[in-house]
Amino acid sequence: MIKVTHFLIFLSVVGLIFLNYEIKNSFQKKEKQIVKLKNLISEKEQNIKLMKAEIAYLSRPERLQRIAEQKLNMKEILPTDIWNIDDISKLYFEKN
Amino acid sequence: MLMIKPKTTIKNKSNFTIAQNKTKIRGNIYDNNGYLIATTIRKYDLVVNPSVLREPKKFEIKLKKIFDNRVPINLKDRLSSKLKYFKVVKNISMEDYNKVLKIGEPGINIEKNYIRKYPGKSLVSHIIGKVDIDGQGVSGVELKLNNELSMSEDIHLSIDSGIQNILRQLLLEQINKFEANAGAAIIMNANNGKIKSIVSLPDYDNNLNNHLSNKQIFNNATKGLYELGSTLKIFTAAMAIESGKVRDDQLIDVSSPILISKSQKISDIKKINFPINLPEIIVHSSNIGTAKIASSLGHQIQKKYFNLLGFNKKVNIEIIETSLPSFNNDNHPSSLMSKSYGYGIQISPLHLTKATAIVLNGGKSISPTLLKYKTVPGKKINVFSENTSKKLRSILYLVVNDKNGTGKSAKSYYYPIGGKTGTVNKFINGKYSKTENIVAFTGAFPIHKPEYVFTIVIDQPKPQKFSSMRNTAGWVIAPMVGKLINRISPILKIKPLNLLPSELGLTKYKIRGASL
Repeated sequence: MIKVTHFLIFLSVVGLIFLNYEIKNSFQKKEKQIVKLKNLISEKEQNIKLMKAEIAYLSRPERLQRIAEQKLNMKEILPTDIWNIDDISKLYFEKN
Repeated sequence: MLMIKPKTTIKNKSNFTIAQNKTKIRGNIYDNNGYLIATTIRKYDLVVNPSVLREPKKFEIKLKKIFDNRVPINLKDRLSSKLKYFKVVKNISMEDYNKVLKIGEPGINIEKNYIRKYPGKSLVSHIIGKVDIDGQGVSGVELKLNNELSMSEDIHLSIDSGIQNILRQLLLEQINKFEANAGAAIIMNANNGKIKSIVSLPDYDNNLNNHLSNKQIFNNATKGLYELGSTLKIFTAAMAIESGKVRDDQLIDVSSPILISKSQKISDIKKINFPINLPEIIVHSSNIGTAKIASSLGHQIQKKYFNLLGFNKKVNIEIIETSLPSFNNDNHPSSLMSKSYGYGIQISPLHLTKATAIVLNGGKSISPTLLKYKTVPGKKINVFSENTSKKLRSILYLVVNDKNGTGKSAKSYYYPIGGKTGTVNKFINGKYSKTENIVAFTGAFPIHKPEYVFTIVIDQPKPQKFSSMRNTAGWVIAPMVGKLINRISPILKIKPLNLLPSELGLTKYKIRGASL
């Protein structure tokens, strides 16, 4: 009887050692993965930052104004272009 | 016998987090609308150890293939030398780096750097300032808020890039037209002190590090001190009305110059032969009249109100480049009189903006700020009463909108503007120059209920043919004011008004012409 329990204990210890090894191994693997992913995230974050800076550079007011004037033939808003919504509707109903 | 060693793994983990925290990237700076003004981006530099290269010549040819003309001229000598460290190309992409690695030489390395970039180039140069090579602020907001920025906090400014661009453009146009030396302009919210735009010209591109002259770096708007002349008559008038020493219908004789000494006298350009009242003195910009008002006020009152308007200290805003006004502290009556119309007192355009805001916003004290979310602690002191403020608004409205006003070319048909011009003979080599001027304009819009105040100063405009050889504020700055306000009002969400002058709710004054 004692021999059987001893054998069972021995087996479970071996099993636990193996389990422990497996867990530790996968833990370390995952940890390495985390480091890699974190580096990747920071890399991507930096790239996003660079892109944002690029967008800001391309949308600087002076450049947008130049493009709007030269390529799109746009003009600045004059006070006469700003209308009250009621006045517009009034005009519309008068016409129809 | 367990093989697990939990302690070591935890230690590794903590080391890793520490390493992450070490590289705190400097925070960004945004404008009022979230436009990126300053940011830190990473860049890679290609570094080579030439002493371990096996075939420098082949390597050089291949490098040239990858980078074209980005390689330095002395590349060949450097690569075949026995140097241990040589920075070949700055700011390369990872793809290019991989290409270089594929050449297969030893001693190739990459250096990670962070650089500060300003996408707007010279849009807000003086306010933002610069950082040194270690990424620490050396001027402007970068210096004053260095602690927050280096803790990787983002800063949101109250500056509006669109308005900044328009103001800068119009000021630059005017400076070029009149061949002036320099200029400064400020637009600020009249009620909460949030600064929408500060321009100082000449300016510089923040991304460039070298070849900057002192003139470019100097911030005329906040650091520069000028005698701002007749614009200060606003404050003399406000003091007079507030203290009750001069009523607004009281007539004052301005027909003859005031003699101070044999060589000095206070005189007017426009001669007025009949007694005029306070609003007329301001609209005609009479030095004699202002001096007489000041002498009835006395030194005490003038000093008290100058201090309340903040002329006795630096303006506390989020940049380091501010200066302390300088006064002529003489007790002689001539000092009192000259200060009343802006001589013998040097203030910065920022001081003038702040003081104008106090007079026109209903008399409440104000603390200018560059931050979007700043709430100013403490109570607001009432420097002037609402009644005084309303009278001044009415007078400044007439300066621009009356046919006798000195600033009538600033008129806009859609937004009621009020303001005061100022033209000062420049003080050069110990005496006042007869030809060199400093011109200034300060005011608010819409004047019946001021939301924004502005100040524009131009240094040494030259007389031009199209301006009938004149270089006064009414000719140099006033034309730009109307244009400016027509353009920025829609951005600031101020609606155009179709009100008659009588419907604005301003006090009515009758202004008589210079000759009856």
